[in-house]
Amino acid sequence: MIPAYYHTIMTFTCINILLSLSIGVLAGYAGQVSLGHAAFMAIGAYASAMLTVTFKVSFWLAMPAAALVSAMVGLLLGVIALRLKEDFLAITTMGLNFIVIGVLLYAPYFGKALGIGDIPVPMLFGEEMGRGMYTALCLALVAGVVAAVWWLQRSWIGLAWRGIREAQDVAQVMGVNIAKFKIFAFVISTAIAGIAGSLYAHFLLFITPYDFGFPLSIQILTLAVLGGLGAIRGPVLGAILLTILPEYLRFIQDYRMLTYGLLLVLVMMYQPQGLFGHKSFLTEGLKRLFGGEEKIRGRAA
Amino acid sequence: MGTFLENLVTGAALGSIYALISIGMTMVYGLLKILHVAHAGVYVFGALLGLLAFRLTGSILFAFPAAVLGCALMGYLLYRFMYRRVQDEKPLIPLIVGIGMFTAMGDAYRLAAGPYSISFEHGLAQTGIVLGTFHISFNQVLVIGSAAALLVLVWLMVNKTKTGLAWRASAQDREVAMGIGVNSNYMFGLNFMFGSALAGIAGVLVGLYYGAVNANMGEVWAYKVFVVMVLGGLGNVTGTVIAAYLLGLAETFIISSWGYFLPRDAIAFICMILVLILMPNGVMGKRKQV
Amino acid sequence: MKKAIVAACLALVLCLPLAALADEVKIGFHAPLTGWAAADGQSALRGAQLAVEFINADGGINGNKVAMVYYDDRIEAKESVIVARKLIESDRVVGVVSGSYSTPTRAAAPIYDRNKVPYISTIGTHPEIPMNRDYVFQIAVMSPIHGRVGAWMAAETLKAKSAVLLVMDNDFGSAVTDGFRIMAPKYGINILKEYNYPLGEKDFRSLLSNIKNDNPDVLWASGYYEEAAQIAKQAKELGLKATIIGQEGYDSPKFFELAGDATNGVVITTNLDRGSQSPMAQKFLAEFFKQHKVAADMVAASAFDGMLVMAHAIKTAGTKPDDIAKAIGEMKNFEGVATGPLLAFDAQGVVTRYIPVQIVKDQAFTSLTVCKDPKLITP
Repeated sequence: MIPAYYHTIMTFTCINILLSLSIGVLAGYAGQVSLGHAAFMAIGAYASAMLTVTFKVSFWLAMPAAALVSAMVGLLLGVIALRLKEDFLAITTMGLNFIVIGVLLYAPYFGKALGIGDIPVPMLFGEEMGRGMYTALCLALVAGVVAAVWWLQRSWIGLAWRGIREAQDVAQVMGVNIAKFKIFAFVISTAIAGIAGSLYAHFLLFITPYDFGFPLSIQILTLAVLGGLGAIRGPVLGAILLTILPEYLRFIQDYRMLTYGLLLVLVMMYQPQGLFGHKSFLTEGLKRLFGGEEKIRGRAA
Repeated sequence: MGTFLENLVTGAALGSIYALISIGMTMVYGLLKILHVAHAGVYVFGALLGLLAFRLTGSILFAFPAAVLGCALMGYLLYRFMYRRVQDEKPLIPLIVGIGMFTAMGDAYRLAAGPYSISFEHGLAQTGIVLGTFHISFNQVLVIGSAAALLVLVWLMVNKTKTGLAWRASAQDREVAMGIGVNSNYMFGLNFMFGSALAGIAGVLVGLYYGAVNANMGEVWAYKVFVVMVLGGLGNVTGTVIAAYLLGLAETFIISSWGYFLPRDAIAFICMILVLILMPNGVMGKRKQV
Repeated sequence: MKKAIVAACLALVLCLPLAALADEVKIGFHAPLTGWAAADGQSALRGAQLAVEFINADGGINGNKVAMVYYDDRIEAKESVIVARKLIESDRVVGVVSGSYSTPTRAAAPIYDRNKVPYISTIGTHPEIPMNRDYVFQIAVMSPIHGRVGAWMAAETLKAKSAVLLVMDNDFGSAVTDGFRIMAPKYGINILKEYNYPLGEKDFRSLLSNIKNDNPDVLWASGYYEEAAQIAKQAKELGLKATIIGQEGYDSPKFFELAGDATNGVVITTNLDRGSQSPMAQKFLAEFFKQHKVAADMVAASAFDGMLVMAHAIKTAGTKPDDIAKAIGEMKNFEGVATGPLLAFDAQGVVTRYIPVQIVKDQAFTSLTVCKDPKLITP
């Protein structure tokens, strides 16, 4: 029997993996970076919370709906993104984070600064889900999303995405409809972030706009950048590492943002493919250590 | 009438601060096409250094040179050891590096100076000019006056000196400028130092203006500077200065008339996104680099 | 390889020690030691530590020493939930005292309640914290009471006829103002206008220029000391005549450090009466100043009291959660605290207490009056 405290850590790890993957999809497969992903998590969390609290919808319907709402805003951002160069797109996503928080705080429908409380615990077979079951649900969703992303990456969509990232002009000549695929990447990515938001809301049972500020976006970005933008492996391992490690090194907690910031600087300067990315010193080292090429074959994007 | 004049002064003071912070970032963008987010970290550094010098010597006159020297050095180091390595990469990489550095700097300041505001009181704050119901504080005069003087200095630097000429040449075409013997790396370093020194002065002025310095005081303005830059037409120094004053005045009058219908930053970012989508060259247009 | 790493992580997780020492009474505590509320968090921790010192110097609880286990909640709901799980399941504390604001306390309250761990909110003022929860108590003054007492004091003591409201947009700022908005007209105060501002705002000049035109007798301004300091200072710069009425959010030595002279004449409602004749209040104020060289604020006093209430309940009822909860709920006229007598806890677990009103003279809070009207102070 695992104590509930570890359920908590595992649940947060799962949520972080989803967020990190969501950045990975956008960055890895469309060459875009979002600096405001906490906004989509907020949209997912609020959609799910309001559906279950105000409209008494079941969690099992609210979660997909939250993904859908988040993806719709993502679609809008994707359309805007077509008009912007990548660095200005990045600061637009950052701006979106501030705007979404501002709207949640000021518009009269979202509980303002009080947030939304009394969010129901999801029901399963007519009973409230236990902590263990909830953790299992999170793990299952992570597995599902990883599988879906993996399948997309293997299929022709992934090919198009990589084309866009590597050489936009060539991809265009080869008949890839860039606009369509970029927007698709935004939709998938923001839907994943929406699911993560929904899981967060029904775990904490109480959310406020302040939970989803810009610092969270930076943390999400760090998870993905540290692991390596692009592959499934990178974001997943980055998220696991950065969620579990600080729990053991409590003293790091006070230096948390300093650590995140320096990690971003150092990784971007010296190891832009991330710690677990293709040809990073860690993967190369591990490869040499275990001697086999096949252990990490094919995963690196 | 008194209210209108007071708002005008408040808005102008705010605009002065925006202008001083934004110039450095705009100059960097003009030359290197890099969004230099860590610039806001330099600005906070200036405020903290100014406060330290003030505490040590007891005179605000020492706060300014301390901030100018310290920030110029920090600006140079940031360029030399950080941006220079990534300046030719895809623009996203220096942007993320800058954000990471700014985040780390903010946290380092918090660890060094504590997480709360520290008083930066020079004793003259409460004095001012009173005409009937119309009040101007000494602080507002100080901010607006120093900014005006510095902006004249910037204009002279850019338009009347050889360095300014070289700067404009580099900003327009790096390769050509290098071809005719302008040492671009030297120009870039100088550029960072100059912009950072201005940000340092802005830091001290803001500290004096609010009578307080806080390790996280850069957070709002780090990102708001983008708004000023975009409105001012990306890399255009004159445009940026005009945009800074317009934003300061607009914010003040909007809040005075309608209150906060959204937080300040959200309003500013909405403006920025609209401008980016509708007028990709900025409100001021982009006829020519300064 | 991924599996190997996951397995390694899980192995690490499972090997964490679950130590518990005998013949010590463990009381948990959390406060925002980092983040924007860190100044208050630090103050709260100092208050709680002082309480533990007093209790142990007094022979502990029935001969057993009290050990305080504390964590930083970073003023985040998420972190507060993790801390709650840790205190309950790893540290196995007998009870927990919160030295944090409403948001982290509100997030943690249902967890303590479901796990039957008695929990006391000392400065978290949100009414939802103890609502329908048998194990959660609130010795903080509930937000609307500040507003009610503020209105009463404005009319009775300051003889004000008109007011303008300046409202901070977070839960604390809007909830305290609700009380004022409802009560002010009943005391004949005309509310001229209401302005909102976002948490963390520094520049109030454009709003204050407007307020100067409205020309109210009093300015009801909700906020924490950072905002309050700027409001007081800029109001003086702009020559605003109205008396500023604040709440316990102003109650910090930082308020004076940041706004200096401009603080003189500001009136606040709080729970720490500097002029109190209660022996515990005097002892607390003196000892706190001796140890830390700064005057204690209401945050320190509240956390101090929270610890004392918890310890007292354990002393009288033992360490069973139900008995502790019952003992806290049945406390009457409890005088052994720094913030005046705790009169009684109501059915929801909220304390009723007198509300001292303090005025700033020479950059220090001094007693102005105390509100004892049950109509106003009953939650």
